[in-house]
Amino acid sequence: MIKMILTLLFLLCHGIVYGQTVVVVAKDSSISELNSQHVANIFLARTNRFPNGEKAATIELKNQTAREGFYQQISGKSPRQLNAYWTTLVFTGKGKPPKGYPNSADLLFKLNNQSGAITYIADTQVTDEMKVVYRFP
Amino acid sequence: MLNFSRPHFIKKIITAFLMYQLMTTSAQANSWLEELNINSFISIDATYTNNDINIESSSKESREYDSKKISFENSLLGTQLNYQVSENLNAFIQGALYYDESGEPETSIDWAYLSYDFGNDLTARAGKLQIPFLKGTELRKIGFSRLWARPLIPSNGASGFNDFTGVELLKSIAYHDNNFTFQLSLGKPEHGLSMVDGQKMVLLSVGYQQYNFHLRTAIAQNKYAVYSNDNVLINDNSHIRMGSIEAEYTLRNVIGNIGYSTSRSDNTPDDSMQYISIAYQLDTLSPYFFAARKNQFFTHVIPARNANATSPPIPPPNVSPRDGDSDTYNFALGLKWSFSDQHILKAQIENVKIRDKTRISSGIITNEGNVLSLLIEGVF
Repeated sequence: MIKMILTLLFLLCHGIVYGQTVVVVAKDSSISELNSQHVANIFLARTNRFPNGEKAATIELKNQTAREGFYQQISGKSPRQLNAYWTTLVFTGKGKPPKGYPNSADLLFKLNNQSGAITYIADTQVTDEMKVVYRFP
Repeated sequence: MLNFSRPHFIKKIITAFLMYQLMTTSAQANSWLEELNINSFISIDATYTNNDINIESSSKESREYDSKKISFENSLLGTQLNYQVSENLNAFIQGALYYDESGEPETSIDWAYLSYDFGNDLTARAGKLQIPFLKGTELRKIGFSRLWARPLIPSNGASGFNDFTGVELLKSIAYHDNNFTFQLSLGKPEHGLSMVDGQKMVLLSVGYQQYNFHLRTAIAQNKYAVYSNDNVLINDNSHIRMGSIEAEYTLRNVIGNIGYSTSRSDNTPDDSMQYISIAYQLDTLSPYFFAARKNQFFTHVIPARNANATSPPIPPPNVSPRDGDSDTYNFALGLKWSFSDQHILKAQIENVKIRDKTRISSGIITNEGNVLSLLIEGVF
């Protein structure tokens, strides 16, 4: 019980500090909305296309906290399970993980300058230059 | 007696270290060559056996281990270059440095192909590829990708055929929570034995994934020629039909794997294998158990014909032909420790028992050994 309360407190604090995670594309993207299955399939390299057929290019911050939370939500995989998953895809040439960027400036530059770019950020970081296409419930 | 005094041992360790350094440095190329991805893998394997025994290896189909010696010969190092030529065209090459059967350093190019993305999750690849028969066939050299110290698939995992040169089509279909993958491969297969010359292969592999459940199955037919030890053609029109199915299911912290493969050949032997594995994931530690049985069934076959009329007659064999079953049983307990995101440590104790009933005049030949392995594996 105590463990559960502490976990809830942690999640609450985490939400206050980092905000809720949202999936975003560039403002001028033709994509307006995705569902949870689209997000999971795109970020787990099960497809490299948006539902309208446009090519998707996944990018992300190399921030362990944000990454862990995001992939836990879309796949239920721990970071180590996720590493094994990517290794299987990468070394058979069947997929690759999102390209990682060291800071938000580089990430946002790429989001606005690469066709089909899609990423996830805290909703407190959303600007007018991007469009939210999925919000976790 | 422990054998640390091989003449090339120090040289090999230095070579491996330099390769590792080179690849680590090369990986930084990502920052300035946006379209080039470099990924590498490494396995440092120390294995001790209490008996002379033949066991599976990461780099070759199987390897002879001498009793009461620590061997590092299952260690290997590999790298991959993956270049996005254009939006739809990709170039991929992957190779490895490992020890050959005589313990000397050897290199191989395992993948070298161009792929083209047609859209709608349909991709074509052409070049040198690995046969997608069992998961372990494509990933034999990538120890980081598996739970166990060595691949469970034996030399008969794809009946000795591991590579092919040709084309394949890959199609993915995502429907709600169901994900299907289809892989159709056509080409010329390569066999591990120089006596077998693969000629044609057609293979269809289907994968299914839902949440934490994965299922994969494959069927294949290969045409090949067989030569005698002194390179005389015995039969140029042999066929082998193969099938495999394997599944993985994760329930909370428990990961279960099960697999089966079989092959039927015009030329002896036929083979089959079964394996089951259970692991419990406890944060960074995963204790596991596996059991596997591999069977080769030999029939006393007279060579069908000598296809080349100008060839000299096939000499009679020096020993009596094999007829009957040869079974290998493996039981292992192990522990995998993920001590960083990209490195793991594995410790495994395995009992290997071979019961060979194929030499009628010799009766049943039994060989048994215990194998202790300690590995550090990583990707970077």
